[in-house]
Amino acid sequence: MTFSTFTYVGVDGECFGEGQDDTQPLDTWLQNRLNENMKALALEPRSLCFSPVISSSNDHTTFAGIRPYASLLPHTTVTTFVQIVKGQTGLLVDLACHSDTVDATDAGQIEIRATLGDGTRVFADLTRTHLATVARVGVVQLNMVFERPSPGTVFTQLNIDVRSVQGLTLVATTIGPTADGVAARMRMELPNRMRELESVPPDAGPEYWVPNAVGAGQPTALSREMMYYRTISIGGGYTATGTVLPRKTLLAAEDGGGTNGTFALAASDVPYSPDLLDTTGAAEKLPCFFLRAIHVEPLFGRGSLGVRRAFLAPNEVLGSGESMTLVGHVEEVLSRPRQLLMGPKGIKHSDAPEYFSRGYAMHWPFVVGDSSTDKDTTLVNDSFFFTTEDPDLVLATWWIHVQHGATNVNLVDSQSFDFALGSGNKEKSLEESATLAFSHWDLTITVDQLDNVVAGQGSWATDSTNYGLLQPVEQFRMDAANVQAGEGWSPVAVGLDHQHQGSKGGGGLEAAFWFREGSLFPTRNDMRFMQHKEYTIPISGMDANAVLRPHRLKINATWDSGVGKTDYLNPGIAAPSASLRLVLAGFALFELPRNV
Amino acid sequence: MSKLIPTTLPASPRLDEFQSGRVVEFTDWKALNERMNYHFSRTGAVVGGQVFPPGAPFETTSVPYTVVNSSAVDSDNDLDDWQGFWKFQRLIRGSATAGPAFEMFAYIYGRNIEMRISLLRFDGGITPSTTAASTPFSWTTFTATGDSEWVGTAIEFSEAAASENGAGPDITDPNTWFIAYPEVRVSGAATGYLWQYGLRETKLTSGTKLPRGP
Repeated sequence: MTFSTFTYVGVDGECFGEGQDDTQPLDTWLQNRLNENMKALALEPRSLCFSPVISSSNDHTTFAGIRPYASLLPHTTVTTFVQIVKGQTGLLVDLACHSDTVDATDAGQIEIRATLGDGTRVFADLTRTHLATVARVGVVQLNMVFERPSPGTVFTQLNIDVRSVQGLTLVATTIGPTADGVAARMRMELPNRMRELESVPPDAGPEYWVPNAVGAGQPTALSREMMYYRTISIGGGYTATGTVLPRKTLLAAEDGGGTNGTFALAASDVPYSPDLLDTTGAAEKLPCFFLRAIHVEPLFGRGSLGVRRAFLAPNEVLGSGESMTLVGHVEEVLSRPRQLLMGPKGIKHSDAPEYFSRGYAMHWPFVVGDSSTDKDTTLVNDSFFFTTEDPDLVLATWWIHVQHGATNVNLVDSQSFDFALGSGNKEKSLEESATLAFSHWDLTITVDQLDNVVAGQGSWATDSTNYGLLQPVEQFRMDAANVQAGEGWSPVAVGLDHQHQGSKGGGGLEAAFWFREGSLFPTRNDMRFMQHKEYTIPISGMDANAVLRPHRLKINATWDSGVGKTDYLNPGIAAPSASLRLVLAGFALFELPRNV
Repeated sequence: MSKLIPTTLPASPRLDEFQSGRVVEFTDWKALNERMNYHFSRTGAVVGGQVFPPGAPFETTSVPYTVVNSSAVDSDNDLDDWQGFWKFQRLIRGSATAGPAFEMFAYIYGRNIEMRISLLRFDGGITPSTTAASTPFSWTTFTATGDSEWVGTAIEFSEAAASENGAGPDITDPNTWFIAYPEVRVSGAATGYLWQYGLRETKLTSGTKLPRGP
């Protein structure tokens, strides 16, 4: 690979006869020079670099504070959007990342996969990487080559899936061959689990918390003990002592069926998985994956727009159709959409809300469903540039609606909700339930720019008044029909782990959510919980073209329970709100040039 | 006469100006050429930046460079919470040697504050310096003084600068990653404020930086 811009050469205006009375025809060199410059522009990748928030550190020799992922199931650690423009021949995704086992041994093998599209149109490279033993970051390149140049321009989903490869570092146990199958199956079911309660030091908490290698209190560095398995007693005569945590155990703990330690489990509860049988009878430490940055680079090549088949003969004295083609190609390349942002960046650990491990940055910002006080929450507050005059900005987003309580499933509000609807509410029509139909999320998208030279400190609100663009409020309606249907975008339906475990009412939604924070499991069809929304923001009158100062994208959300609204069938009952959360799982911002 | 990068995008020549049988005016060729120069001047990698919460700018009273936010409102948001990793996408003509060079474009909105941005070369599998200021690949400073204002600068670094920090791939290797590490210090007042900064690959302002032919 080389820089495509090696081939671009600035051409002096005099070459075109500027300042002369008569227009001169272009000679062979000049015509081909313009063609070659056009080719260079057509190959120009316009890449985007995305770096998530980390724990404060300029020590790049460690990965402290970088959110670790570990799972035997493939899981999506990044879900966002990219643009595929007309003529694009591929997409290069570079990951600055690190892998390591829990005890920092040289066994941190991670499978990485980049997937484009909705699952039916997948371009994927599966890359196995086994990064170095020392704590440092390497670069993995995922080169996604399309079968043919893209016939048009689309925005599509980009997922980065990772999976911890098992069978590397072994811990001696007393598990027998059959139980090994059980253990292997159990390990398969382990999602990425990390949680830490301030009131419960990790070492003293339930065993699916992230243990704290530092000791009591909060970790000051990455806990390398992540994903250790603990003691379990298996029914049917099999006993494992020391290293396995099955899903059943987790459920038992979440349901209040046991405490830290040993849980009874019938071997028949766990399907035998011969392909996973580990005859050595050992549990494993899972390698963790640490993502430091992503570089996304569209690729162009033969067949892309403007890449000429061959150099052309010089124009005749008069103009030619070939020159007309060049005019069109320049305009089309200038019109290509450009990706400006990818996110969310995440939230630094000390800013993250409760129920999240304070050692790491949180990836999914969210807003709580509480309209009792000023809960307008900023989900995105990012700096970006756009480069053409008054473009359209397109914001593509992934949302997840979640309901959970502090420690258990909070159905109290839901029951009030049911009461308001009356018994047998499943059969109630939406019209009959209309008293609750006003409950919704208000979403405000702002693009603004600070004014230059403002006396004193000023503030955002004041400084950006003249430049701010406010997207009309978007309302995520959460109506009674959806809640009762248990599908779609019902927050009740989106308990994530809760849904998979099938223990409704068994507690742990809150915990389950945090276990999943920042990752989704394709094999569990988690993508069905994602709501895709796209917004177009027409820019007008902003100072971008000449000066190229950065702008700000701000996304705010707040909950409106609908109480007090009197203009629609006299609503007066609040839908469940306190346990509702709207989560931003991914977004991307694109520039669509309008004036080229 | 010179190589020109216009400050605003020239209008596209009409197609019928290029039809056979017509004399193509030099102004149309010139516009076409400058449209390409304009586009070239704004391409390159997009990196990002930071915005501090509304009503809670980054504050410092530190005379030495620092990344620590001393704001009483929101002191948790430090400058090094986010550090942009990036790969440069294009080479320009260096102003000093006329050889290949990179250029980074940075803008800050602040008051009484000086920002220093260090670029650390991050070779795959090689650990960059643990202290940004000690052995940066390249760094520069710029200051917003007095009223709140935008201040921008371009940071150019070339082959010569690339060799200052020892072994590693040369500047023409497009797979080299860099880390942008910003620090600030107070300038001209007791307290400095920073609301926003943004980083991207260069916005060329002079046609002299356009690449030359072989």
